[in-house]
Amino acid sequence: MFKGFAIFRRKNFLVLLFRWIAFGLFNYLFISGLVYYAEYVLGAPYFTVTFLFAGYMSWSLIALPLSFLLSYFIGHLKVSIISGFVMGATLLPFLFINDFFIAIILISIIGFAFGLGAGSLIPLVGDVFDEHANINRRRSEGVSYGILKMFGGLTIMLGGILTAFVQGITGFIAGWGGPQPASAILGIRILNTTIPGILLIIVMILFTVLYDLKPEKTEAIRMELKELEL
Amino acid sequence: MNIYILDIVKYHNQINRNFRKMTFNSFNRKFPTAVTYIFFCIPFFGIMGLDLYLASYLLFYYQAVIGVPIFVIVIPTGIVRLIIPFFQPLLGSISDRNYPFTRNKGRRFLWIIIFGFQLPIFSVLLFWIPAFDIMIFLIIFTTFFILYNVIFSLFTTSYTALLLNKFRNPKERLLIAVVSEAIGTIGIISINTFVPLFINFGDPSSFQISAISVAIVFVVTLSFGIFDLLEEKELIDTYFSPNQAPKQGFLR
Repeated sequence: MFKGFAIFRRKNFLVLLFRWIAFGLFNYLFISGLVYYAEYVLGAPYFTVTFLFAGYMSWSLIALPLSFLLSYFIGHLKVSIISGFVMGATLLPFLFINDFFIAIILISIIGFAFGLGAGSLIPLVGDVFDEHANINRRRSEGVSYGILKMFGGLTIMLGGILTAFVQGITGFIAGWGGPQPASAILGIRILNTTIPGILLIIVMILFTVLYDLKPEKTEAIRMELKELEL
Repeated sequence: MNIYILDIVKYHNQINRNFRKMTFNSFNRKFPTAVTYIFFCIPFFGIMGLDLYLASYLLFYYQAVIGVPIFVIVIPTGIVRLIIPFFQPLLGSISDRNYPFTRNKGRRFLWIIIFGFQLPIFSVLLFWIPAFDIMIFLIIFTTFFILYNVIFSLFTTSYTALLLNKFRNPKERLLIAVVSEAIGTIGIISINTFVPLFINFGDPSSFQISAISVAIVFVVTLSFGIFDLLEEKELIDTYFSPNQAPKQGFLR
């Protein structure tokens, strides 16, 4: 048994881990899958992917300072929950839309929500690690962050397996520049948007219900840590 | 059994006074200035650039430009990417330990510097492996790729652990999250925008020169951040707190 894995006994860490995996899968399936989505579902020329990425990146950059302001007033926990739900809910309409401009608008909303969530991630991780340090009476951020990175790496593998599975059963023709069968296009829609969307919503519901590191508690933890000189 | 009850009532009055404005400071030092946040996060620019350059061009360089069979690249990189994640917690635990030589400079800073300056060397070497003999190429490539990934993990876990140790107030962590994310994103955009301008697909040396340029950017950004990566005495004292649990091994 790895002693460093004692953090797995903390409920809040497990909930955060699910959130970490869901966001990792979102990154893999949605962001990496934008090329497939633009090419086969929207039927847009290859270079238009740049516009989709630009919409995503620029809005996530714009959201970063707002993430700080919003977190300052309502707390990073609430900002994180809002961003997760918005991302999940915005991913679902992709199952039906075929219009490039609507796609850009939705991707910009997702980028904005992602930026809000990204700004509140480090404080969340910090709260969970502080709680573990307080209970364990020892700081071990290196191991704990290593565990998160381990699951980040495994998520990429899971994303690859999921992609191969869905493309396999929906009849995606690899190495073929022409039009794909209708089942493969539906597969791309489900794989790249619906699966991460539903996953995000489920994880955020779990997060809202189970995560209990509210501002008062995290502040008390920090005070106790200071008293213990940890 | 570990029984733990956090006494929120004990801290109730202070919490009411503090948490709305996030004024509780975990240290006796003042809150960091904007310059501290920016210099601490500048290395993110180099980290993102270095990792993105390798992820985007390494496979393409050896497969399409040098003409190495794709399986010679994909098999070792795939296996390393499959195995390395399982070692991440163990690699992360290295900077969690106190050693006599960490008493003065802290237990994160030294590892960040040691591994940080090795990282660009291996990233450049990965683009300079001669491909005369496939077996020799495979051995050297796999060795360098493993070393790069191990050092990258050691560097990033130490760096992130320091970030969480050094900035403890929620306001500090929010600011550091925003600044690091913004600088990292600018790093990604810069690499995606500028590197393709200098790469000539038929010219292997353009990939190697770009790799050196990206490595130099990494070294420069890390050097800029050095003074803010230093651990203050008050922070180092918390690592050696008499109230902490006895030293634990990684394995039970």
